Amino acid sequence: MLKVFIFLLLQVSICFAETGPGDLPGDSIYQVKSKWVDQFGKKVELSSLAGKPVAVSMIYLSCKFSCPMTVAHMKELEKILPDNLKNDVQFVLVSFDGKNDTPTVMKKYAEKHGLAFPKWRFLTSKNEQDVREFSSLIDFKYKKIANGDFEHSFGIVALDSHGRVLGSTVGAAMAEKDLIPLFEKK
Amino acid sequence: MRTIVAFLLILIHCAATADQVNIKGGVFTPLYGSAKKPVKVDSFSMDVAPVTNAEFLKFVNSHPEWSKPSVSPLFAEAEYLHHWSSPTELGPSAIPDGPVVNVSWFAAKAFCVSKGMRLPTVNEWEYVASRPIPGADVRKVILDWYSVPTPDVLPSVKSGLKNSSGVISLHGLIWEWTLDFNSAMVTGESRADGSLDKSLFCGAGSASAADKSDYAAFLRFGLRSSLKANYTVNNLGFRCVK
Repeated sequence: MLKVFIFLLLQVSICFAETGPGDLPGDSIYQVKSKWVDQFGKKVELSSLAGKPVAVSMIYLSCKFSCPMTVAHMKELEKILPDNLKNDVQFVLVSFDGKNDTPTVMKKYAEKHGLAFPKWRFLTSKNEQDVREFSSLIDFKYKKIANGDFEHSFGIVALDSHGRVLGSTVGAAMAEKDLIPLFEKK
Repeated sequence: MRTIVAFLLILIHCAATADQVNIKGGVFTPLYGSAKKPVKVDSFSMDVAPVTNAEFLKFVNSHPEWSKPSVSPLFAEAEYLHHWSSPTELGPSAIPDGPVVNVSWFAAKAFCVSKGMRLPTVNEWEYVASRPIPGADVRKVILDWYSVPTPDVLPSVKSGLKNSSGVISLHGLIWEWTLDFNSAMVTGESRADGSLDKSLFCGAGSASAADKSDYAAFLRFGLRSSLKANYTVNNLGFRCVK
């Protein structure tokens, strides 16, 4: 009988754990429950980014061409942000190469490029389904090709402090500066 | 005692729903895209048939966040499950063993995850889809299907043809979601730049023009690249793999 009770209790607690992710709005991409690791090996959920606006892009760190450019564009955005946003916006780089971009690799990359935590965060996951889910939510495409490289979209997505997509330079004729008014309107 | 019974019931339930076949890994050349290079596919097991309305209803009942009234438009368009008569009833347009359609990629993924499975990758799906169907010409099956409009009520998932791997209704019933449907680089934004037209042209050009099954695979490729993960389409369903 006690076992049955514990069983039921467990069920109830599971149900509670699955009900709504706090007070996130219905169009927040932070509603997904995917698990990620950051550059310190810490397990995080996307909802941990809530509270501040985010500029996010997806890359893989062994990439030679467009990824350093992505980082350069993100840095450019950081530079041109007006004072009221400068210390507000978080810069997040999500790697779709969870196999090779371990926390150690991400941390080294961050140090090499002067991308200091907590303003700059790196996330990755070995769960292909979760990475695909995230890329779908920000309309970012990627595909593994031969010799460990990836073909992928290119650009920056602006999220508000609740994780709602404000706008994006991915596949759009937009520049970094066009994201600023979006951040300001939030 | 009751817990044991409950546990056994769960076990029996799981065994009964695990209607899958093992697919031995191998190398194959995808029929789509411009890269005519062989790719390696690891062994996996695949649902014999697409997921049915009845199975999806059970999932919705146990995961109410995926019921029509609760699901966010971010994860499924307004047409989500619109062939059902209500959020928890199938009704006359959705027979229980018909394939569930009007489901988004997010919903399909969540269903598979709830069973400890996942959606097949494009390569896995195409690998199995390239197997012959005993007693039928795959190309003819596909092209005949493309030429017929989707019926108002889709028939049973078991009504389709079985291919040599023992997988039913891969062709001729519905389109199916794949895990990495958004890997197609066709929107002119990637490094391997190319517009949809150019990609279609390249792919078609690289395939032998006389080979109609290439054309069929190419339509699948085109459809995938036109989808977004929250889209719901009245002839797009899915099956899971492990």
